[in-house]
Amino acid sequence: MAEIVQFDRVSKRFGGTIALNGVSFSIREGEVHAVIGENGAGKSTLMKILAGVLQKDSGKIFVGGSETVFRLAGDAQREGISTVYQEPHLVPHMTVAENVFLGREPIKKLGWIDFNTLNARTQEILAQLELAISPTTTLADLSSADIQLVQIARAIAFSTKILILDEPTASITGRETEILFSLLKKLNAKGLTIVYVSHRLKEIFELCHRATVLRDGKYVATVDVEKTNEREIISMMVGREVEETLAVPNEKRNTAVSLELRDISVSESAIPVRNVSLKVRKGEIVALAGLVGSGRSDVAKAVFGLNRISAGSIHVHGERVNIKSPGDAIRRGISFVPEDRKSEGLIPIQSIKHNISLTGLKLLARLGFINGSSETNLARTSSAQLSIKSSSEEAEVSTLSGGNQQKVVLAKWLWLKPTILILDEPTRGIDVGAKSEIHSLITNLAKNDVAVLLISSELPEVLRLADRIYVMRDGTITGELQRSEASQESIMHLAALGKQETGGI
Amino acid sequence: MKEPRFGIRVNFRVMSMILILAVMWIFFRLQVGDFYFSGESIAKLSRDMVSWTILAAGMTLVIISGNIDLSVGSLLSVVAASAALMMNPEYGPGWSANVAVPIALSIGTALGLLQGTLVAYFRIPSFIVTLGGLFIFRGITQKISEFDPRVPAGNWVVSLGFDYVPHETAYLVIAAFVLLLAVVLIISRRNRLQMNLPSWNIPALTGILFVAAAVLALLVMKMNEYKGIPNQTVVMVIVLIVLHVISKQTTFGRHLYAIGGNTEAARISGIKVERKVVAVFALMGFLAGVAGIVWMAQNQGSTKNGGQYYELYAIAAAIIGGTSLMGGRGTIFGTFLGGLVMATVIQGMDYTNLENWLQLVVRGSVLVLAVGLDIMAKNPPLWARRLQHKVWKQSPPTPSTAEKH
Repeated sequence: MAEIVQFDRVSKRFGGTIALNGVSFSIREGEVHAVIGENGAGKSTLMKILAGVLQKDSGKIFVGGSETVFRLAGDAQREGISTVYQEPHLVPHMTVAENVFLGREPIKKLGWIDFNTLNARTQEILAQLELAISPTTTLADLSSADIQLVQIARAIAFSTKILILDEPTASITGRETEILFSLLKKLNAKGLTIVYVSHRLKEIFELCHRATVLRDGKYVATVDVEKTNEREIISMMVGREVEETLAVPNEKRNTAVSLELRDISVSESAIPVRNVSLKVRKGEIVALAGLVGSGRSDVAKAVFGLNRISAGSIHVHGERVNIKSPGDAIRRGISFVPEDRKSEGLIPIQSIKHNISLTGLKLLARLGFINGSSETNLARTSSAQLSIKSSSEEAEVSTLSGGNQQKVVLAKWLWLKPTILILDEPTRGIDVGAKSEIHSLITNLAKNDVAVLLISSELPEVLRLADRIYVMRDGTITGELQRSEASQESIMHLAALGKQETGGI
Repeated sequence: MKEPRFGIRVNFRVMSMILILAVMWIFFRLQVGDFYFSGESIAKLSRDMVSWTILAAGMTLVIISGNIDLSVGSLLSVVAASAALMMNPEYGPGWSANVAVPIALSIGTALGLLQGTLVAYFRIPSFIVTLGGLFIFRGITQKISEFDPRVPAGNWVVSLGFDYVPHETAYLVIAAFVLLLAVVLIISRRNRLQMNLPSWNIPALTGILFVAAAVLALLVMKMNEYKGIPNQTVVMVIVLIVLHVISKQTTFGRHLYAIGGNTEAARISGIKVERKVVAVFALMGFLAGVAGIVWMAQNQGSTKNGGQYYELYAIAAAIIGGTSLMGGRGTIFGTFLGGLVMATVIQGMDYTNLENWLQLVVRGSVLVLAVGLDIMAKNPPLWARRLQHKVWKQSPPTPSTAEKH
């Protein structure tokens, strides 16, 4: 197979940080090539350079054998390189067809847009991809998985030779991933070269031919996926052997109940919650599993005072409480790590220090005046405890990698020393190393008597950490599983069908 | 990545503004002659910027919180007109300033509070609410100011507009100020050292204090050559210092930055977003009141069109000073420099006898240039990057994510 892309000693720095350090490898025509590494390893930077969004500082890139310099995203597109980013780069209020042709609309005389051709050609493209999406649907009405597929349609609509996918499965469910993969396999069979950036090793083994591992901006190795295994790749990514710590069974059945929901309903939330009852004991990790959109986050938000409950009651340490605002919840010793760190968890344009202290500024202040040294001290100790990697506590959070950003979110909630901790997707979109650090952190918190309510879409994570599991579907709890009886199958059964697989309890 | 030393961020915008100021000062000095750096010219410069720089300081906090207040010019005139009417014996009750001023300030605060409530609890965008306020308050001013009431002479309020700080008192005040600064710096140093954080060393600390004292003493000396520091300048300086401290050192200030930076994250972090928004608009109303009183004193009464376009001067000063219209970023010190840039342009052009229409053109151009160049330097548009590439025949630098402001 011919080499379609060659990186030759590509380097890139951002201020004092070296993002890429002399990376050389090549991608063969017609293969699915995975680029993997922890967050901050330089994968996204490298892909952005290939797509022309960023410029390299030194080194060469050859596409189809000749050296190329892309200064703009348009330059790369003309060479047949298209990118699908993690977050959709589309206009929500336009139709699917308008989005597919955005910026290259077919035009009639006098500059009018030819909507008939636009819709017809989009229909053709969608039909080729065997996607059941109508060209005239408004994008905002589609699910996030369908939006992902529309992005791919847009990317390959115009003589694309190389398709770059940057973590395309970060915000979609397992089933949707399957649809995406079958589409990608079909496109690859037709000769499209695919560069696939992901953290999820399972996907790489399912989809890719070869994988290149980057670590700390450096090239580590390129391996044939068939000839390697997860363990080997992880150790290349992390630079050391990672021990898959199997959680110690920690069944705390007799400790006091820290958080109890009795038959609560929430009507004002995005997904209405009906008659949810659950208990979390001191030192216990309880998972709330279920598919995206089953109402898990809405339960958490109700406990945290972001939504009012319309029926039922919430009890904290045995006392019935009326939580009207996040402030009330914080005063009761509850911390909440929200699902989306960029839109809910952090203030990206502010420093690590200001983000961490925000939850408890009053504790650092006297008569409303903040004690600056205590604040800096807090930021430094927290950063050290959670090993947040940054140049200093004054660094803007938006400049950190996903894993470090998530650690900042954790830090801002943990220094309040909560007795109840609600975690909503605490490891979404972060690298293996940070993930295992966060897992052991959660286990340690539970050992120190914190009651943890864990919401997660990743079943391995749930199975590894949770002492008990509640499964939700359509805004209500469909079952409760003990650690001993839980498996991916039994959870999925409750999540998708709403009943126990076999007799069970 | 630029790293601030000991929490003091020397940012690009501040440096470029100081450069712009220096260039303008030299230019006007060459145009105007000796008079330009005289005590009189400096005192007048500091005096003329007072009313809208006070507005700009409040505006900075409003914009940091992710809102805007277009009504401040009209709000200023409502307060000025009602204070003047209350003190005027002919058309109004002829109350003393001790009664009229607090009432007028409360009116300003209440109107700000009302607008804030509409923004926070009724979810009407601040642009709409305060655009409405701009018209409504102007209308009310025209009614209150029907007969353009004058303020009787011999009132302490009038002295606010015309008198100067006695020469010796001025030196005492700056001595006290430098002493206060010293105490604050020393306490902060002690606290930082106790927690093993890096801090200023003693020579640097002494140096800073010495430079501050020297600059201030020089300014006072210069202004004392004329009549001294105008009283209103003192009002402005107090407002600026208080707002600087609020924005940097208090939980309220930090909450405003958080709300403007990411409202949802702020809410989840336990901040009562609505209350803070109401509070910042109320504070803006109060400051519009203060500016209104100063303006009234300057004009010894009120007119129907007092403070017109001041909202735009205030916004311009804040933006030139580096406040982001997207919310979450901005400093009072920057706004002060922005106000100084505006005042320098306006005053300088007056001295050079530029025609009025041209003055407006220049004012507008300075705004677009000062802000535009700064933004372009940080994040060059594509055509500029291409041009740069053509000219230098090399890979152009890309904006690094670390240096976003």
